[in-house]
Amino acid sequence: MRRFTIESNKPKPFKDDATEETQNLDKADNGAENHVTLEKIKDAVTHIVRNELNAWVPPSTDGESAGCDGPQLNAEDKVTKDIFAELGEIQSHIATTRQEIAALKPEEGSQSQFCAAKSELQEIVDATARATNDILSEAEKVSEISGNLTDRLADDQIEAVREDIEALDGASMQIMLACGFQDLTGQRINKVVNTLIFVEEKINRLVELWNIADGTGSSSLVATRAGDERPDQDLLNGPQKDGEGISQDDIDAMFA
Amino acid sequence: MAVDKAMRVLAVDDYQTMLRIISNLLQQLGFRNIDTASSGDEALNKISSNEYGLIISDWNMEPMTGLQLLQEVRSKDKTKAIPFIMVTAESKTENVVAARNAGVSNYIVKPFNAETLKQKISSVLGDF
Repeated sequence: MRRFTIESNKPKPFKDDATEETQNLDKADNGAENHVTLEKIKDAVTHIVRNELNAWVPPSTDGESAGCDGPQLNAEDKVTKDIFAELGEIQSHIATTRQEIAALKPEEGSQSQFCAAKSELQEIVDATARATNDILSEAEKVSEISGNLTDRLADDQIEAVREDIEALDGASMQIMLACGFQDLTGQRINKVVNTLIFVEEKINRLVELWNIADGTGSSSLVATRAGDERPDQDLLNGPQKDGEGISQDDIDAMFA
Repeated sequence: MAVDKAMRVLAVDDYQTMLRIISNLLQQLGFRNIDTASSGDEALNKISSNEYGLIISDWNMEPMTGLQLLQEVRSKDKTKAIPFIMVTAESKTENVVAARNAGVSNYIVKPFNAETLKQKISSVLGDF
């Protein structure tokens, strides 16, 4: 008796006469080793049911009730109809699922949206680091100026402005402490990046399981949410990476 | 012609930090009558009841974008001549073209500095 293997699951064996059908299908695969896809399972089930139904002889339509559109369905007819309807729905679900998963796989030659997302998050970390350094530099200058004033002013002059000098020192210290946000945001962003990597791995696994060769996914990040009805939403792309948008000088030239 | 720093200026941005930055910069440039709005609708309400000499607006806002606000301002006789500067992170050529076609007076791409803001305001209002 031939058996199919689907990764970690081993299905129950089919009936003997069905087994012959599945053997034929298997031979068509040139006796390929027992690694079946969901597609093959679907084909096998459809083939078996179709053969069963073709072998079934419908009852005679003599003695139908007047006024009916067609023969009255008996219980077996209804089951048959239901089976076909269910198979049709399963097929539709399978096709839809494949399409949705294919939309997660990037097109040939392009990077995944996950790569683009990770890159954007790295830009955030880099930009906040640059800004924080700038802020710290200026806060340090304020502190230095405050120190210089203290050194240059005479004692009686310092007394007159002591409160202001202390306020300046306090403010520059608070600014420096507030810049600590960059460390915390960096850590939070790392967690998001790690989660993205995890999700990406799971999706790659799904793509592999469904044997999807050609992806239809975009490599661009989604700049606006689904259902955005703003008329100019196709112009809303957000900040560009260094070197990708046009510069202020280029813009000025357009207004010259 | 020197800029009249007593004029009323409206800054529009849905991001409070940016509104604060622009307000502070305008104050440092000498402007004293500065109003702010966090949305296009709020901006239109203020524009309908006040006379502004300058509007500075972000683009990416919801539900009304800065481009839509600009189009509204340019569509009314009472407001169509108000200088309107877009200050935005949108930095593709098509953005600048769309804004120009809608009648923007000047366009500043974020991040920007005080000098850039001063230059662009000078270009539409006159020298400081």
